[in-house]
Amino acid sequence: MERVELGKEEVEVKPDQWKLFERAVFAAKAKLTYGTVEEYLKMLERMKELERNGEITVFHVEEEFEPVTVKTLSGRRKRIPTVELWQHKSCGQCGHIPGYVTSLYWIMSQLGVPYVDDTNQTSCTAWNYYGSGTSNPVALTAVFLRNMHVAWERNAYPLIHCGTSYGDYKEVRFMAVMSRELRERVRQILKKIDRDIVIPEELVHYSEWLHVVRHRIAERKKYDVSNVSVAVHAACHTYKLMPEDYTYEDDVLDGVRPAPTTSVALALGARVVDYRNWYDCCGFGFRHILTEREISRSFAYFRKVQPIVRETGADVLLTHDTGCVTTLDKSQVVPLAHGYKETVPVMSDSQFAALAMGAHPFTVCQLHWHVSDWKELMTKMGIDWERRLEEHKRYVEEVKKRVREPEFIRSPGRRLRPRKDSRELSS
Amino acid sequence: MYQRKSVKIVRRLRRLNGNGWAYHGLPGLQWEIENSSSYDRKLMSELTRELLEDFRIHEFYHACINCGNCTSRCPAFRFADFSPRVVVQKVMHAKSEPDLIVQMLDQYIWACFQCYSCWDVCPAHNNPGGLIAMMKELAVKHGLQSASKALEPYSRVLFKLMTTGTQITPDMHSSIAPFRDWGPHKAELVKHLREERAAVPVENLAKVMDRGWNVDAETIRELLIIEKEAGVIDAVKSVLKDVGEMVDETRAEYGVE
Repeated sequence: MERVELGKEEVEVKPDQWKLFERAVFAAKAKLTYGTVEEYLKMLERMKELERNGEITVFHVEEEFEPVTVKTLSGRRKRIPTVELWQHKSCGQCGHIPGYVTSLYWIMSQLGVPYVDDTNQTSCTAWNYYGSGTSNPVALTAVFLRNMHVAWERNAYPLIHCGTSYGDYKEVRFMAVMSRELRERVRQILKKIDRDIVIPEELVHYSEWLHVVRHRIAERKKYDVSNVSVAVHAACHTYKLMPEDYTYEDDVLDGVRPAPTTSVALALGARVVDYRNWYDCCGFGFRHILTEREISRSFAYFRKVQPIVRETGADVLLTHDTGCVTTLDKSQVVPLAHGYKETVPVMSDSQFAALAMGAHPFTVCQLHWHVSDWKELMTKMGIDWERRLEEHKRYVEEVKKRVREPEFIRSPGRRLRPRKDSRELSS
Repeated sequence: MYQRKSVKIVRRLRRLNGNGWAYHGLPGLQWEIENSSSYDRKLMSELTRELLEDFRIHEFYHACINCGNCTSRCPAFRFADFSPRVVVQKVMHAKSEPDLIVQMLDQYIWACFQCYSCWDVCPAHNNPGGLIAMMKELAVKHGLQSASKALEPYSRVLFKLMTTGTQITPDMHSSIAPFRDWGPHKAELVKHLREERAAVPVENLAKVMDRGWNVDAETIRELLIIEKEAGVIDAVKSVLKDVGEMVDETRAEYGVE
């Protein structure tokens, strides 16, 4: 604790608050707005004001969503809903790393958490925007508010699976609340699709949900992971894009780095290892991962995978975003073909948690879609992967021959009833 | 400001290293600087005006102290000739020298990963990633040739997203797909893709091959209305004509006027 003179006042600042404090002082001196903690809090106040004036509807985290409170980087307390969730799926996950989302649903079904997996959902379209510039604030905000309105109609609280959707939604929410012009332009578009402005009180990433239910997950642990060393890569768009609102916890990484994912690994009893490049991005780059593969691959391998393996010898690399899992996993093939030795299995925190809880590594966690080698990790966790792989192959074959029906993960019965449609909302 | 080098210095550098990186400005910028000199002055002023009048500019740019924190954290800087510090510096001087913006719009900005590490570490709270996203928008809107070149290989994904609301789909995993370097493992998976997909234990994903998940037709119609009304389809047409026209065809199929 240090005492700092700020104008005429003297305030006490904890060491871990230095970064924020310096920013706040700079912001105050430069009369800055966007991106500062003060302005973020102002935006939340403005949102309440707009609600009071009847300009917007705010989707509150009511008690019926059984929220758990966490601390954010700004020091603000954030309420994370734990039940009755509207799954905002990720456009990059579902097509080629389906185990990400299937593991999350499986955990929810095990914990008795009701949810809605909606077909009336689009991606946030921000991958496209960041990669190609083929969108704009009006379109991004309209897509955000359309999806949020659907969640509101279903009376299920949006849980965002993708780090980029989460970051983009935080950004466009800020703009929609603070810019009347943008808001009104978007309102006109929403009218054409029979919808209105509904803004969630809290934007929640699935990793924050996993974070708050981690002890319940740990209680259901089937495998001992105390001999597994875990390296964590925090996704840039969760904690660098509008950083004020992501979850931090005093007893996880001293409260100075994002808590989710690390906290889940710790709760499961794994050994979390640290590495010097923890802050670096994964190399995804939106357009790069698709059309500039060399640059993406080089960054992922030489700035993340190689240093992680050399410095820590980690058994697994966990992350919590679509792009990060994709890039860190797929970028290992070419360097290995060129004779580099370092390799580490990559998966999402939801897959690791589901594995530890005893989920089927292939039928549920869908690990066979990943290219980095997970066999050693399975063995270390005590999972007989050869037998499990045979089981899965048999299952796929039986489904193919229609000898058996596929076994779908289902949501436990919902308690909340869907709301009426948007026409009633606007009247 | 980078162009205000004395003629003597430029000549000397050319003599020393005629085709190298050291003339006319900063490393990695020679193409853009050369090219900007042949740009239509009217378009150049228009692009700069649009950028500086965007409602986000005062949020994304404050004042650059040239510390280089942003560049030190930049993934594109590690493996490409790119620096977010240069972008912010050019925006800072854009009002008096509009060609600086064109130099950025034309090719340079497309190296950015949009990870926003630069924003997170900027002591002045500039958002270089945000500025670059704005510039990409401008380059697309005005159909700059460099934008078309950068985005051409991206066409398939762009079309998929605009017309299904989802991006990477199972049917993109094939021997001719853009992910050949994902290795033999992927090629093996592709052989059984349909069966594997059918066995994914989530109903809205199982058997779905041409999109990420089952998306309602009405949902796609709403997305197409948003894209049309917000000017996204027109912007795409100006940079990737074929993709824009195909989206228009889809729009007509869904009955969006």
